[in-house]
Amino acid sequence: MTDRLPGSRPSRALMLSAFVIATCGLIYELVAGALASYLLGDSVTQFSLIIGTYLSAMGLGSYLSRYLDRNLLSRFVEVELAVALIGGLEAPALFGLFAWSPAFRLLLYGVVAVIGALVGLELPLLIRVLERETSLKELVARVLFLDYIGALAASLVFPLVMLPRLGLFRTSIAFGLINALVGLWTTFQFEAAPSVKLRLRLMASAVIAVLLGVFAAAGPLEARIDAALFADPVVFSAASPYQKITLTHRGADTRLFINGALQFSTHDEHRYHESLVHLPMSAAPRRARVLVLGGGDGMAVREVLRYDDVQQVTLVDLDPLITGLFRDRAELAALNGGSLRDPRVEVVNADAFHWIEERVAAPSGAHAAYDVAIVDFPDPNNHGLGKLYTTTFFGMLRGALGPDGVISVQATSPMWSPAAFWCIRRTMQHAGWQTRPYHTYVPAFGEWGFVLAGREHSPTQFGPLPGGLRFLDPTTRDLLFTFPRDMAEQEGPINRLDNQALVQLYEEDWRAMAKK
Amino acid sequence: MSGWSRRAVLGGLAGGIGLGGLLSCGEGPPPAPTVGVLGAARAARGHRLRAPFRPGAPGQRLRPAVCVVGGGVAGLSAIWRLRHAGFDGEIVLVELDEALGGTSQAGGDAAAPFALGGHYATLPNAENLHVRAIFEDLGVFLPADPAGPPRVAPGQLCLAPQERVFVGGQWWPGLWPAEGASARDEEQRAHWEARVEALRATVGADGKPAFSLPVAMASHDPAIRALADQSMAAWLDAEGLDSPRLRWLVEYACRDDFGTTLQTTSAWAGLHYHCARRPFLHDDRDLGTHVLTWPAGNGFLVAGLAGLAARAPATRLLGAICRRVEPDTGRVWVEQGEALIQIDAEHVVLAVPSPVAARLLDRPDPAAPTAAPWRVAVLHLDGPARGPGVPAAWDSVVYQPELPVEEADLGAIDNEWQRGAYGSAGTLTWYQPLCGADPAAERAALLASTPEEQAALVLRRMRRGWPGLPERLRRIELWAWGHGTVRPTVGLHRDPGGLATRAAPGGRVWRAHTDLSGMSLFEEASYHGVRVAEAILAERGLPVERPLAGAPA
Ligand SMILES: Cc1cc2nc3c(=O)[nH]c(=O)nc-3n(C[C@H](O)[C@H](O)[C@H](O)COP(=O)(O)OP(=O)(O)OC[C@H]3O[C@@H](n4cnc5c(N)ncnc54)[C@H](O)[C@@H]3O)c2cc1C
Repeated sequence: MTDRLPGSRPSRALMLSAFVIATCGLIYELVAGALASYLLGDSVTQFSLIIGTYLSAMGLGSYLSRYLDRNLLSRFVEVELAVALIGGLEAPALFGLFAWSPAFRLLLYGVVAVIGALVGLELPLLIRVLERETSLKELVARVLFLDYIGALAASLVFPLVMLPRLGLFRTSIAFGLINALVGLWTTFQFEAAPSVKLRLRLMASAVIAVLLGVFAAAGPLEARIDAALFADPVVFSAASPYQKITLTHRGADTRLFINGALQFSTHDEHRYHESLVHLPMSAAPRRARVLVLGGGDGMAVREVLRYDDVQQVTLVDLDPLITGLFRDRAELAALNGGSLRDPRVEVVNADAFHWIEERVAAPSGAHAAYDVAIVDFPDPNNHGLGKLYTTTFFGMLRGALGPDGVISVQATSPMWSPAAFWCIRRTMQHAGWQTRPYHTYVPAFGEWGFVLAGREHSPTQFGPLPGGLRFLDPTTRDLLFTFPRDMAEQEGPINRLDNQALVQLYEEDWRAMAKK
Repeated sequence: MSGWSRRAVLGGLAGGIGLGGLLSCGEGPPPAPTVGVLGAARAARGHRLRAPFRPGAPGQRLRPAVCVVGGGVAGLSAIWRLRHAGFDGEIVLVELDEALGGTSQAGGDAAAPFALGGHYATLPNAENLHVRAIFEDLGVFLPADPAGPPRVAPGQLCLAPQERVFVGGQWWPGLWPAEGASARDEEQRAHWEARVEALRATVGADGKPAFSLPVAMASHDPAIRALADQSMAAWLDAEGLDSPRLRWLVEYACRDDFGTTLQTTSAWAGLHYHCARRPFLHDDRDLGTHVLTWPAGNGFLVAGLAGLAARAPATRLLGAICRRVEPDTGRVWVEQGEALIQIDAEHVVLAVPSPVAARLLDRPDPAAPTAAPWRVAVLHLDGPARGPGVPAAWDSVVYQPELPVEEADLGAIDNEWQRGAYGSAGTLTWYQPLCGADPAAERAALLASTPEEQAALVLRRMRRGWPGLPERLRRIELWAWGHGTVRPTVGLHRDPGGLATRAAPGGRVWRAHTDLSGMSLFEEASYHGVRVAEAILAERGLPVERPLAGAPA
């Protein structure tokens, strides 16, 4: 050992390094896990694979530390700088690679393993540097304490502070910078040949410069990379550890994607939402109390609020991330006209099936009945969603509406998934609803289908439409109920909790479509 | 809204490289699950029965109107029927176990129960009055016009998809191993289904259905009963059904319901499984299943019956071993801990298996049917244990034709399934009937194997279908049923009257147990409970407005 520590003050500095190393190390791991979840889906598997790879690589790094014997402090700084660079650039690098490289998983786990190995090297080096001046007992206790506390800090700071504020890219770069700064600072804390110190400081400065540069460019870079995934420029994106929302913009068209799946385009979403909402609203004899199930983007609520006699709207959507963003973020709230901030609107974040189940199980009179319900769930592509289209669900929904109650249900495309569309209609009819299927052309999706239904009577009488509509007028409204021959009604099973026939029909429809 | 997601397409591309599986070995071994044994105290008390008994001076004397020995489905159904009819005399229930339910009991707690034995019932046939009445009382059925079909309450029928089968390296929907099946396999399956369909509709010379649940409602027509003289294997041979897949499927049913093989099951019983159920339901359009299940399995029915049975005051002696029953006096001797209890009852319902009844009555019963032992494992997971192919189902069965049938298992059911989470974390119950031709030898081997050996066996069996299990498994608990299910062997169902002699030992004693039907099912156990309760009501001169146990010959 030729590098030496001068006194006791620096050892405190090195202790701080231990804390920072642990925090940064876990952050890189979380960044990789979050990234893999967005891109590959299945967050449980992604997180466990990342954690496994990372921990085992740390073990390898710790083992390899036995081969480093000389100039431990310099080695320590070098390793720290390498972690800073690789870890800091991890998110932008991996994101870019996903868009361009087919060997993404290999690269992902490779990067995670390299970072893990480097972090694994650091702690043994640190312990050996400090070993000279403190008893092993004391040392291990303090270093490991700081190590674990650092991990706690990371696990709190990452989801609660960094990710929402900075986004994934800049979180990763920011921690790279912290890593590099600690490395630089360490060079002032020990005695070594001036040439050695100069070399390390130059290296540290270079790393810091690169990271700062990328940090400044992170915004446009994230947009560039998203653009490789999305056809249009990305203007906004937000993420929880489970979902990623992306807003793209080109000309007058803004599009919303959730985990890459198109939700709407401002170019034509009015066709979808006006059709979904105004048919039941203008057919309902009463509309003081309106229930909206799904549709956390607030677009359907925007249409509901066009009627002056609406007194109360309840929006039930599973995901607090979506409803929160569409209430609070200016650029998103602009799309729904601030509907979720309207005092008449109550937002409930719950599973709609259980929410309805509890309501109808409550003693009669405990809850006032709704006059209108707008049902806008995602397509039934799994059993969890399929249950929202069953006889049981539609039966319970009848119990939540008054005798004059009218509803509309988004029912997939009668053109692309006709078997599924007509199954939803049959199922509602079987559950006691008096149904009238209809459809609208929405360029972004194609021909789209809905079912209008009355609790006791088929909704055939319509009142006036509110002002400000861009698509619907009374003549168009009447046309929506005609189904041409290529979308004609089909026979088939009803969807029950004990057969989940719809999920299968929907899957078969899309498989047939893909072959066309 | 949109069907195609860019992410799915890109994700599929990246996923195609399939490195995930390769890299998972880099994680190092996950913590080994802990291994536990359930029900040891129960087994120990069961063994006490073998020791010689001589009545002494009792520490306690009870004089109830009715004493029910055995708190399984049969015993509880007897009490339910008495209370349902308005009988409010004193009843004492004696149960060896600390818990009620016998072979239908659940383990765990109210928040996370799991099945250990019985885990489903089926929609009753129109002629099956007693199950309908029980279900209406428990809220499984909604109130309905008794003249029409019953209405099932939401959430009672098993949620779809009910089954999946692991074949050709991945999970497929349904139970039929279609993947890799030849045209001949499919043809034979169609032939089999047509035969089953026809037999289900067949009526005997006495005007009763050829097959029915409870079996007491089935035809006595000797032409039909002759099926009990041959094995299921012989019947399939005679039909020219030699497809290994079809025979696997039919044998799966025998193992699942009876713990017997194609060779040991009688053709009458083997066909009964498929032909006896003719669901009768109000809203049966596109009905996906006739299976009813609950998170606690049939422990749900046990808890419900026990709750309803408590409508009038009753004394429950739990952890209490009945040692002797005297038919003429109605005297019952019970040991509870160190205490000896003498019960003098006007009526005794002996709701224990036939071999136990023979011992308590001190009357040998050499014709009593044998029972298959079962190995059961409860797997506690901290996340969904994924496998390749279609996602979770209630019942997951591995097609494993390479295993000798004596070693095959039935796969596992998901105890959380009925909560509607579609494959969440929770517990799985794994079942293996020990179907060797000599149940006593199987029983001895089961009781001799160590928990660790058994846990290792279970994990080995689940390795292919549940590759994610090692990371998810926190604890595995083992349970052994020494006398699990009655074996409806060749000859047993030949003479419909033969069982009746064991059912009525005379004096003040009535016998009720599922083995009197020659098969172990909720519908049968409850039938015998209801039947003896109605006999006791009649004996006491209490009017039974609408007999539920019908009028079997
Ligand atoms: C592994 C397994 C899975 C099964 N799955 C199903 C299923 O899915 N569906 C289905 O319908 N059926 C199933 N069964 C069949 C099940 O056995 C019957 O449904 C039913 O529970 C039988 O009830 P029982 O009351 O007739 O008999 P038992 O359950 O045998 O009840 C007898 C009771 O008597 C008690 N007892 C015995 N001796 C004494 C004594 N000396 N003193 C006091 N008490 C005594 C016992 O402890 C027990 O509680 C399964 C059985 C097993 C073993």
